[in-house]
Formats: sequence, C-alpha cells, structure tokens
Amino acid sequence: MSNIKNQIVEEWIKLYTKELLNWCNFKINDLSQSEDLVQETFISAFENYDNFKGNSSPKTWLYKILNNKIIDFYRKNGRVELIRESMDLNDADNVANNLFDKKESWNRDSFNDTWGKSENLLDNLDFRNILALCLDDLPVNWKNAMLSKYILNRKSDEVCQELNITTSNYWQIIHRSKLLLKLCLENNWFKS
Amino acid sequence: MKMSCKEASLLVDKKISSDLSIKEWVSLKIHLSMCEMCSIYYKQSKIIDEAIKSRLKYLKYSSEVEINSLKERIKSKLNDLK
Repeated sequence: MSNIKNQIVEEWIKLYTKELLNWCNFKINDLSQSEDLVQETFISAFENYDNFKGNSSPKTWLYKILNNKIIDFYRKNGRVELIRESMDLNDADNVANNLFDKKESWNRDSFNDTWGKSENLLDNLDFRNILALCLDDLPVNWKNAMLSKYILNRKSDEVCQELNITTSNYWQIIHRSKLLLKLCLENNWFKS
Repeated sequence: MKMSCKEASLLVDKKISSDLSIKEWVSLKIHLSMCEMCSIYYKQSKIIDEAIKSRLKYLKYSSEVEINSLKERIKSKLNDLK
C-alpha cells in the first residue's frame, strides 16, 4: 500500500511541481521561498494521503494545500492583509451581471471610465501586486482558467478539456474574470 | 441586428486573446465605432491583459534544470520520511 502511495506522489511531483512553483512564485514573488513551500506541499500531501478522497483532482487538492501554505507564509511574515478569500460563484456572477442593465448596455453608475487612456501602469510594481491580489478574489474555477491561460500559457481548448467546460463557457469565464478584475482594480488602486 | 454591450464586451475579450471570425470582428468594429463605453472597456481590458503578462515577465523563473533538481530534492525528502 505504502509503495503505491510513493509511486502516486512521485508521479504528482513529476507532473505538478513546475506549475505549483510558478503559481506560488506569481503570488509571493520569491523564488527560493516558493521552492520551499512547494516542497512542503508535497510532504503534506504524502503525509495526509489517506485524506485525499479522490473527490477532487489531485491537482486541485495540491493547490489547496499550497494555498494554505502561502497563507501561513503571509501570517508568519505579518502580511495578513494579503490573505484573500475566493468569491462565491453566485456572488461573482451577480457582480458581473450588475455591470449591465436590462437592455444589456453598460450600467452608467458602475462603469468607471476614468482610466485606460494614457496611464503607464505596466511598469508600476504596486499596480501589478494589486492585480495579483485581485486575481485571488476570483472564484476558484475562474482563477484556474485564468492561471492556465496566463501562467501556463495553455490554449483555450486545452483549458476547456482540463476544466471540463465548453468553449463558450470558457470565454464567459475569461470575460467575467476580466470584468471583476476591472472592478477590483478600480476599488483598490484607482481610488487610493 | 444590433449587438448589445454585453455581447460586444465579450467579443472584446475574445479579440484580445485570440482571433475573432471575420463576421464577429466586423460586427464588433461597428459596435465600437458607435459605443464609447465599449471602446473604453477595450482599452482597459487590454491594460489588464498586459499587466498580468508583465507581472509574469518581471518574475524570476527556475530553469528546467533547476525544476528537475527541485523534483529530485522533494523525492529524496520523501524517501527520508518513510
């Protein structure tokens, strides 16, 4: 039994180390710390293997462990303000829908048009950090789609297959994620 | 038939990430030429797109060799646990 466990966890190490590392590094922006956290993730997975019920994919489970490690890391470093909760899927849908009125035009009250013209935001570290936090707020599935697309550079059909969604579903998710990121940036960056 | 902003903004995000069909692109262009808000959304969404990519660009990455050595380190750590 324990031999099978070894083989499975070793297979996970082979398959998922790179993307877990990229994800962790994207979040904490510290490569050597990220390596440690990914290592700890696999050790936890190994030690708690019996708790893995197969209800979720191994990858989802590993991400969950890693995300907890990242939260612990923030706590230890007194950066609790960086701990974010994923939004509930229904809430996220509502927020995205509320950007439009009944005629499917933009809601003038919630549409912020004060940015996007000429700022040079891309070289701004704070802006990029806030954006990384905003990504964290997205519902888990949306975040996974966004990360597969941007961090892992996956093609849309690969992401669809991986997340078991249709192409039109995929574009809805990417689109709604972008709408929420717009709002999150407006609330956290452009207001301050 | 006239396209709504909801539909147009979806096409905007599709356009930023991939190719639209000619039909979709033409109808989006027409909408954008008449709709200031969607045109602004186009610019904002592009900035968000580029900002995510530029965050990635500024990160240090491990090389394949380093990733492989990390994999080996983790495996040997697990072997110590047994």
